[in-house]
Amino acid sequence: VTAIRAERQESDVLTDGGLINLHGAAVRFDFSGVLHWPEEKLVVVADLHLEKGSAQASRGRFVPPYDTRKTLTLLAEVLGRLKPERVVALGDSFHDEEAEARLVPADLERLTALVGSVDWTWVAGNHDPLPPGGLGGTPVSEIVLGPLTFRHEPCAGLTAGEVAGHLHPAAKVGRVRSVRRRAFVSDGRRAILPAFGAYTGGLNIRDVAFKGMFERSRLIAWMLSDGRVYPVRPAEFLPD
Amino acid sequence: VLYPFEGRLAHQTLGMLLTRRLERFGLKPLGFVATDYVIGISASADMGRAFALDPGLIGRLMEPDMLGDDLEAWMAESFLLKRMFKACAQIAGLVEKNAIGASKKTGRQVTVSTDLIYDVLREHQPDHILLEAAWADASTGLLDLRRLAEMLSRISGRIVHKRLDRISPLAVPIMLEVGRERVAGEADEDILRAAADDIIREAMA
Repeated sequence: VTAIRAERQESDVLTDGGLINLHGAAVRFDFSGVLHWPEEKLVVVADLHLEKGSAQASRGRFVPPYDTRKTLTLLAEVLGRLKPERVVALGDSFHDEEAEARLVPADLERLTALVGSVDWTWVAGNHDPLPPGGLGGTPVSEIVLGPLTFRHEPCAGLTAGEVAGHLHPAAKVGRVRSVRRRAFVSDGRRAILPAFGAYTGGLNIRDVAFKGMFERSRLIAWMLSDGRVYPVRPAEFLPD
Repeated sequence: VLYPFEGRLAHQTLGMLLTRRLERFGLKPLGFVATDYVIGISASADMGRAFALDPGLIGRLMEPDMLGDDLEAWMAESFLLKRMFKACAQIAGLVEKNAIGASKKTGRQVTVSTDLIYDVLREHQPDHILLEAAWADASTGLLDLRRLAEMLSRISGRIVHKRLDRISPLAVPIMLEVGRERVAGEADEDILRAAADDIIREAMA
């Protein structure tokens, strides 16, 4: 009985096609950190934090300013590989409201080309509440597609059908020695995406900020690695 | 555990290069630690067994050609160089040193680590003055290349490997410190694989 029940639960997690069952949508948590929904030809990317480097510099912390280029290069690679028709940027795409103006011409050109190559939606985040000006794309506060709602900040408590970012989840595992990686967190009903930006850190999934958001028995952290993601259960999660 | 007796700096360098080779030979090194007399290397694969099965393996591991391309490549991505860079960045005032007892930040806030800066600079501005400083510090402070080169050519073909069924008394001090220098690579994947839910992982593949 236990085996059958376990198997039932697994088939719950994955669809027949080996994709992840997220509230009825068959999605892929891509190893790059984007969510891919093949049926809708959709890619969702969270927390790009473009121009975070220059934001730090304007406050007197001089860090190298190449983060935007690095993030955009990675994103262009991912979009080239997954070939979506539609992209949703899940908020905090720009590190602050002036970030767009600080883009150097080459980066601006690359970003405009990326945005122009697909049906692009900007979801507003707490760092970038105003829609981007001259870049194209459609600004929204949140967007509903089929069974899923895409918004920047996850709501508190349990919920179903929500895809969010904002928290920059990361998980840490290992007995003899630990490995910490950015991760998707999901209980099959809602999902929180890892941050994609080059200068973004990760918040440990054991942090109080995640408390009460997931049904623990179904909770899985999908840890990012080279070329694959590793599904990890809560029993393995280590604190920092 | 190796006993080259060449001094800590040469051992440090040898450890970096050997772990790189071990990684390439599929022996999944976890890390190494060097003292003035000894190097200890830990791996998640059974190195003793590999050496017993293939008697020529040790000789190939210790070939003097490791000072060529391996050195350059390893230096570029090594933790040691990153640590040197961190020291340089602190001296330059780029980052602050965390004082002991200072308020602990969460991972989300500590977003500008020297590692990130190092990687970004290496990719986009490899001639940056701080990178050059880190490299210069590392090659004088951490490497003892001349001594290492002499040692490698001297020992070539004359290495004795013994498998012990218990830790030898000489090796005890180093065994206590195993893993001081970490190596990222296949071993990380092993840790992730071990933590992952097998049923789901296999169903995905």
